[in-house]
Amino acid sequence: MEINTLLELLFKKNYSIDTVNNVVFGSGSINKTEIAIIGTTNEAYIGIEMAYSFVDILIDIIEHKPKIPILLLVDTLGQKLSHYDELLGLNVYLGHLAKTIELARLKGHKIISVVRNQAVSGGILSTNMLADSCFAIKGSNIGVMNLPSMARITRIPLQKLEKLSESSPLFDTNVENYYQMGAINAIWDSEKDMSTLLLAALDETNSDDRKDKGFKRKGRMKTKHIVSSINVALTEK
Amino acid sequence: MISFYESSARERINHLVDPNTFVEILPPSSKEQSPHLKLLNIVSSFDDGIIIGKAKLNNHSILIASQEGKFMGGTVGEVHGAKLVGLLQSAISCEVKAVYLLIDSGGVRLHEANAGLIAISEIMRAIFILRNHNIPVYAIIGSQNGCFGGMGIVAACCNAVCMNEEGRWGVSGPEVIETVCGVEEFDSQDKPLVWRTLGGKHRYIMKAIDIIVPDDVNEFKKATYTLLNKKEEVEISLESIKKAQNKFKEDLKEYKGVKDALDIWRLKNINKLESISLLNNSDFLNVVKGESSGN
Repeated sequence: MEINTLLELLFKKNYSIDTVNNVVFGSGSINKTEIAIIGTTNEAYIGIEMAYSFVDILIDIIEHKPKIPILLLVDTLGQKLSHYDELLGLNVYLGHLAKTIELARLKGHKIISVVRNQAVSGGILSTNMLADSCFAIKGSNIGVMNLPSMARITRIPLQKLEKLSESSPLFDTNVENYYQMGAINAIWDSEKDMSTLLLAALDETNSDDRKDKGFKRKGRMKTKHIVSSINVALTEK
Repeated sequence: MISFYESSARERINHLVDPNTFVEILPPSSKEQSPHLKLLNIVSSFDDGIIIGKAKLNNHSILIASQEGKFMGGTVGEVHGAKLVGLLQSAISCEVKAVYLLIDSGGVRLHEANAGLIAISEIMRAIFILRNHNIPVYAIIGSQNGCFGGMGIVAACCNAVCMNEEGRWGVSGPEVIETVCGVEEFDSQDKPLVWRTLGGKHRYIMKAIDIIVPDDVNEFKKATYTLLNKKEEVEISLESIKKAQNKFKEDLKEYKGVKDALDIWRLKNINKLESISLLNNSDFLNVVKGESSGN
């Protein structure tokens, strides 16, 4: 879904955004609740410059708009693949970006994210996936890589991966898989009243319950059990 | 001298913690193995490539995890990731002084791709929650698979990072960049290039890590003690974020468009930069006189 289509569905005409080097920022309001908007567009690869700009905007929100909800709308095909970015420490820049999102949460900003197109790997780990509530627009993609690339690197025949994807949520990048595994709260489509859904998400608690959702939805059957057995083993006296 | 770089995951833990104090949680005998690999006809491991547990370090209670790079490159699948999440999430009720992650990983396990990606995200959130509870998490990078992909970002979320010269730390590994962008972008066979781009010395020069040690398990042990006594703020603060942001602003201006680590070292006025790779650890520290990174 195009960013303006999504913003109109969420905010009607009550929003304004700027875009500089594929970084989108601005704000919108629903029934007098002001929400900061920050994201990326054009399936951006997130490199050091972009991570730096993103943090600048987040710091500005934290300092000048205390506690207002933040809507992350990152559209990314992943971290930028380049020698230069690795040389300067893309790992540290992406960690810094992740820490800044956590800082915003600590300072009382509710963090909501919507995947509207592409959400891949390092680009999405350090942004949308850190939100208190993550949503996705039907038809968008989340994942590490597409099936043909995965087949090439793992040397597993593509046909086999495709066959397995019919019953397993592990491989294909469709958002239904991420819903089933608990990482997406709900899948939205344009039929739904997204403004109301967004406002409702602002009232949800922010504990990380993805493993419980993944278990309940039969997408990740091991995680919940392993985490709780470790907890029991470590806390018994 | 025993090499950390060449030690297995279990050896690394045993060399670092106080003797006979390590208690493994979900050991291989509990047979918590990946339910997914067998669908791909891959032989699984009884510990899914990671050892976790509690121990004493210099008489303080800690939690520790160690990834085994020899099993699927130390990658994070569902069980492997859940073991890390479970360990981190237990730290508050265990009242430990710190959590140590001995990283040896290429990141998300592609054979369990989506489950691995979500697990990494849960690990990041769990680290942040610990930091908010004043429990520091430290990353130790010095093994053969280095620290890449999502684990590369995880390490950057920790309170401090310790490396040896041999360790490598980044997001996309040289092979991945070469495969996607071509050999002219990053020649993964050019070992000196790989080391001076991603290795411990360059990361130390860039102030991305706090401690660099020689590749000796006893030196790593000393470093873990140093980290244990670190007095810096554990919680993420606006001040620390702004300080880091200012540093990045300077770096982006100062090193814009550089082609090689040597260009950066030259701009930093490092003496004898051609010989940096040959210097032993203490001579290296004398030459660069690094400061703390302030994570």
